[in-house]
Amino acid sequence: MQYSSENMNTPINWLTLESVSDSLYWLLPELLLTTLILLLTILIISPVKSDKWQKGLVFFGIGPYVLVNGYFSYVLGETQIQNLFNADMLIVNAQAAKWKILLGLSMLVVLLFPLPLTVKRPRGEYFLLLTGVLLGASLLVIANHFMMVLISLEMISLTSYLLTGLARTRYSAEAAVKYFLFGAAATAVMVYGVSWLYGITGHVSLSGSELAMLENNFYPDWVPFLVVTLISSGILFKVAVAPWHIWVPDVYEQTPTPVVAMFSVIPKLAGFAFLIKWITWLQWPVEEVAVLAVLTMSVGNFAALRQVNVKRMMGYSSIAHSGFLMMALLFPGDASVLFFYAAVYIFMNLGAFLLINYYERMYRIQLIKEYDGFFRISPLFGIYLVVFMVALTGLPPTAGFTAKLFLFSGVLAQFQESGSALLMFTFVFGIINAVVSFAYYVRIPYGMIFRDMHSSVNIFKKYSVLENFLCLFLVLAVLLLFFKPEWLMGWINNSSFAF
Amino acid sequence: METGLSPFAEVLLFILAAALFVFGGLITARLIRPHRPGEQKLESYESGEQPLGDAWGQVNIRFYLLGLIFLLFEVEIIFLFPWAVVFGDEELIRETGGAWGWLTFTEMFIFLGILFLGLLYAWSKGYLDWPMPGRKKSGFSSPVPRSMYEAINKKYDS
Amino acid sequence: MNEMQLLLGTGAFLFAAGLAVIVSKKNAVMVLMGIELMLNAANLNFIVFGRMHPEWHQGQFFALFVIVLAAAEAAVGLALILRVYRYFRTVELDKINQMKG
Repeated sequence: MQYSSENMNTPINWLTLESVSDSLYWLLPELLLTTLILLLTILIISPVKSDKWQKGLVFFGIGPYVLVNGYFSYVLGETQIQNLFNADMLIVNAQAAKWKILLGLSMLVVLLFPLPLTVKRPRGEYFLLLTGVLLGASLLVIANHFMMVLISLEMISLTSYLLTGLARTRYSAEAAVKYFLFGAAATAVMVYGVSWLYGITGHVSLSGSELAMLENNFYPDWVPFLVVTLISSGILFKVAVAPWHIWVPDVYEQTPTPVVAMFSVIPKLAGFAFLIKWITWLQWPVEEVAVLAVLTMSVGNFAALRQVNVKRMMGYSSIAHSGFLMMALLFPGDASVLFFYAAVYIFMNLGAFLLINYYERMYRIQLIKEYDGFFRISPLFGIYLVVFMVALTGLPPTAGFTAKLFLFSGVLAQFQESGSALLMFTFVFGIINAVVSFAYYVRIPYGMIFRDMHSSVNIFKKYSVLENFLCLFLVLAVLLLFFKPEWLMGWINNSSFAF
Repeated sequence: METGLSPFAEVLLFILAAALFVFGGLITARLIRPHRPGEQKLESYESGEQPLGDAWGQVNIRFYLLGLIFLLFEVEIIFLFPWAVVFGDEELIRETGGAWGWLTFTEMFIFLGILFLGLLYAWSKGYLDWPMPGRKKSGFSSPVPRSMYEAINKKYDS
Repeated sequence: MNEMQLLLGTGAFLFAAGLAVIVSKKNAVMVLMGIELMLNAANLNFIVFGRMHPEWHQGQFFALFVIVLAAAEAAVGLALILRVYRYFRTVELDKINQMKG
């Protein structure tokens, strides 16, 4: 073979065996998850068909995952960067480790959700797919190259499609096919965009400054714009930014509630963790981001107003929160507000879904009006729900307020600095949206407390102590972060969140 | 392997040899075999079932399952090709003192092991067996004898 | 028109055809085929551009990975479509529409 001699001696320059073993060390969290997936597969094949073993194994895998990431975020310090395999493909720093801690913690909470009976037992496949989502999200957080982005996005997507179709109902199958067709089309569009990026610049990694090459005078103006739009659509689809949000309501309505809770948190946060790198690479296109943020939160909030199904409403609410998270991308060079908002969002959203899951299992209710009068039956859970809904609206005394305060004051400061009318516009629209969201979030607690019950109550499932404790923990977290936001902010800022 | 030919010429030679092999066999057979057509010999499958209807009919769903499993494993093998190019690279092996060979070897066996685990999973779930396990005939026997149903059918038939 | 433009044009045509199929076809399997067309358009582009930027064979490797991802996607998609068929006895997307909003 003639061509082997001239090209094949280049790898030795950048890839040495020492760097391989070093890099594998920094890849430990992902390797843990991979091992966990393999062990789970073996356990599913093996004659031990015990649910407890499988669940125990998952906790035994994801617990260390969180701990290792905690250790990495401590060791890596403020600014240290590990470029794995010297290939510009995966880059680990303290910030990425902290994102992964958030992902791991929310996965642990999701795993504690009791599953509805429509999902077959033993639940080995369910745990397997959840771990797959976490692995994909984890890789997306450290991805720095479009090949890795593609692989990790697909890892999240394929497992998500399967999780949507997990319940043995026709609606769940319908939602899964819709999700799949939209999602696969978005991926295909993104891949085509990446191929043009590669063609024009010759690179597909996010390290260099190829944007200048993309925007040279050789091509007409619309070419870079089109390429960037095609690529962004794949990621924006995953984090449900309008106009790529159409899959959300159907999927949220028909998927088992624990899985929905996972959808609203893990792919979204991983997507935003990557999005901030992508936007940095694009050198902060503030105007486009602002327009998308306003569009997304308006679509989400106004559509949520006329929903009758709680899960569908929460779907639109999660779109609206994507809009707020997009707003957090408006601060060039600083991701700490985004991280704070994301952390608070995890607590309040998982809490709300935990309660929705509780009412769905206990009383078989899914419509908003069916919640009427439930405060008298379980006052404690009623109070929890009030706290979470208030937090999602963004009112004191909850951490939702603190997060929104950071967000809006940040936008205002940006406006004073740059004087761009668009930022003022975003600020005003953000406030209007927060007010509108109050109207639908408060409907459930209002009905619960002040209205009478429609029919007598049938209790279908046993009361779960675990659920109660988990709720209490999340409520305390949401309240505590209002009074002591500096605890979380201090932890965020001990590593650099600047770009 | 230095033959003085360009890589594409080698591929062309392969294609020619393959074509020669196939058509050569067919033509030789045609030349030396006796030619006695009969009614049964002219059927489209000499020893199979007669095709009925068009090709777009319903196919048993298990064909799709097997097809999907085959598709996955077949396509994963694509990763063996780039690996095979660098695996035997003598220069790399010499410079790393043999460690390169072991590294790539282990890597590929991990990859194949994961694939094999997937195959085991499909096997243990019974997707590879033709009669699916766990689909037994129900043990339900009706207390109403079959003849009564037939009598009722006959009564309302006309 | 040189060779490169011809190939890129073919890619763009494949992509547009795939998009048209996705938008216009009612059959879920057809939509899946449209998606495959789009992915193959991207593959063609990667190979063509890979000749322009030969260092590290990035384009060819990208195409390899896209092929595998497309296969995985097709397997998952067909499995889901089979499931839908079991419940609805059809794969026409207009008839698989029981949710409102």
